[in-house]
Amino acid sequence: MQNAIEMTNLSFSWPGSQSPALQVESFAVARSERVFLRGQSGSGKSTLLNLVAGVLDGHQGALHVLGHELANMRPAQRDKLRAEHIGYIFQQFNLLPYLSVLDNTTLACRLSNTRRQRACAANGSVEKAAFALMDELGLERSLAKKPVTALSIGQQQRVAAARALIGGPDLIIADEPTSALDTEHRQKFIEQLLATCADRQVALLFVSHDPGLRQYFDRVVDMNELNRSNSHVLD
Amino acid sequence: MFWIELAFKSLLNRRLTVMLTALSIAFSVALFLSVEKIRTDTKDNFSRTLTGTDLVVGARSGSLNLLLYSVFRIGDASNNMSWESYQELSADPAVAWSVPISLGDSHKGYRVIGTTKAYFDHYQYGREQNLAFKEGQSFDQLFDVVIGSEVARALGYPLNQQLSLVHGTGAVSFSKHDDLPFKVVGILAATGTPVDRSLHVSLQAIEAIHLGWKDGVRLQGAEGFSPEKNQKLQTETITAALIGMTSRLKTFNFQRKVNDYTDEPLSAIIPGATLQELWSMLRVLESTLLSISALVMVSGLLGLLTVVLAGLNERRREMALLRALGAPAKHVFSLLCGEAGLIALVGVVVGVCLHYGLMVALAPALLDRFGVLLNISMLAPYLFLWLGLYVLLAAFLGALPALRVYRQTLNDGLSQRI
Ligand SMILES: Nc1ncnc2c1ncn2[C@@H]1O[C@H](COP(=O)(O)OP(=O)(O)OP(=O)(O)O)[C@@H](O)[C@H]1O
Ligand SMILES: [Mg+2]
Repeated sequence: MQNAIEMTNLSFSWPGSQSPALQVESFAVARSERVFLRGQSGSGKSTLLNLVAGVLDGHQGALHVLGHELANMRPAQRDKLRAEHIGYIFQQFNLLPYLSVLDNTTLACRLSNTRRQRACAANGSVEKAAFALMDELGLERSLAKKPVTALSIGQQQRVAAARALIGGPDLIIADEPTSALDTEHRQKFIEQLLATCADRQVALLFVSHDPGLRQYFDRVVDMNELNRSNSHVLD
Repeated sequence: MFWIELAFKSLLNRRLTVMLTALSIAFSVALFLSVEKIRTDTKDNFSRTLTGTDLVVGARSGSLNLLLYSVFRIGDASNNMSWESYQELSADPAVAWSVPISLGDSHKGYRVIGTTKAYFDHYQYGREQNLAFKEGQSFDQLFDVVIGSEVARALGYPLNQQLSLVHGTGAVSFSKHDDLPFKVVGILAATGTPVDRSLHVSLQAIEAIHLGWKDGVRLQGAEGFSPEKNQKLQTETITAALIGMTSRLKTFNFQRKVNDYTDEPLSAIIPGATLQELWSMLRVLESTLLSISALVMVSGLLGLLTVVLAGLNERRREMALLRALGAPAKHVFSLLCGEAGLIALVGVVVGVCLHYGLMVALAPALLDRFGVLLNISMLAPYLFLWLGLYVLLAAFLGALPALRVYRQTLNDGLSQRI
């Protein structure tokens, strides 16, 4: 089976900058593999995630995501790939403040028919799929109708995880999703996220500064070793 | 469908700022339309105050002054013209008809005009429309009075109402002719001209109430008018005369004849030309009004831009989130543009309603105070064009920040920056 992510001799420069922000000789994430990517600030972690998500254009080298070479895809096709197969979790501001918890969770299914059909196939309906994920991630069902603004940060990140996971994506990308949580909530959140990913056989590329989390992952990758570009070392 | 729902919920979430913006646009649109309406209708009304009359003749004065007191009943005549001159001039073969006018008295602030029955046949306004009686008919008896529509409406006078006139033109006057009551025999239909605010009596009636008076003061010991005594009522002076020529071509010759009249100094003016002259003096006011409403429109747009820009950081996160969920960048862009356009559209629609409400509410006061008859009708085509352009401009202004966010989301990728 192909890898979820595979890159060889990848390099990327931000427009207007001479030296590449990212230079990766080879890096792969297998299907269902959970990878912890760590590295200091400015080392290009977010840049890498953006390239994988297909929102940044103009890389050199090979970048395969779920079997597609992103360089060969039109922007609309990459948008579709992301909508159907990738879940994304931000550090914060993951939710639309004017939608309820349930509506935020099911958002991915509204943007992609494929996601909706898969959610229905797995759980019977989009709502049931949302509730199942809420159960798994430790969110009480009574929260479903609440506005997301009424949630704690920890609960908000769980809703974000549920939204990323609904409709059976093949890859979850998480950019420091725990940095706004305190240690206790962080442990709990990461345990539940990893358990859910394992249950559903979803690959996870997880970025964090926090070395304390590495124990939960199949593999730990250090950005300093991965990124051959030394532009970040300067600052 | 999903996008419309999302846009709607997003707007609802920011309803206070959005509503205020739409409202500020609505106010600016309503103000703009109302100023435009009043401007065009005033102009229309104004230039059509007196039509069908070829010349207005009065004692020598500036043409604007003559027009103001004889047609608009603003101010007073500095001098009168003698009845003999009037007789002689109107006997000219070039004159088809003539109507004498005698001013100087009033009733509760409304001017009284002494004239002849011919006034009702020859006074024309608008597109050469004649005066029409809503009720009753022309004066017949000495103490009959025909009142304009506004006088009837404002004072609530029905037919047969008794009233008395006062000397002078103030609303409150101590020199009343209240020993001689008049009776309303006719009420004219509304015209939107100063006729609406006038009371019409015969020249004889004017003479009758002034018997025993001189220069607005009752003469000590002098005998007033009493119906039994059958006193002779001979008009000696009038204020002005409306003249119709047998042919328009003869107007200028006759005008020269009047201006060169040797027995007493007289002036003759062509009302259409003088009305235009007067309107051009008001043009400063007109363009001031126009620039005010243009500025208000601009400030409405700036308000919209401010709101869109102020909410941008929050929206940037929203856009990054939607992008992460696989939303095409184009959708994100149209979401922002459509929003600005929608706010402007709602603002314009509310503004148009507000405008009509305002016009309906203001119409009686405008007619009452300023004699402007508002013709409440469909918006003029050029206004539709303006409003359409306004909405487009608003959508465009909304597109500027949208374009910024669009570029940023493309460039930043999914990083949520400030
Ligand atoms: N939109 C951008 N335009 C230009 N340069 C950028 C942009 N975003 C990031 N960079 C540059 O790319 C490099 C890597 O940034 P990146 O955000 O990937 O770091 P990071 O490892 O995610 O850091 P952190 O841990 O602080 O989030 C930095 O030197 C940064 O200045
Ligand atoms: Mg980062």
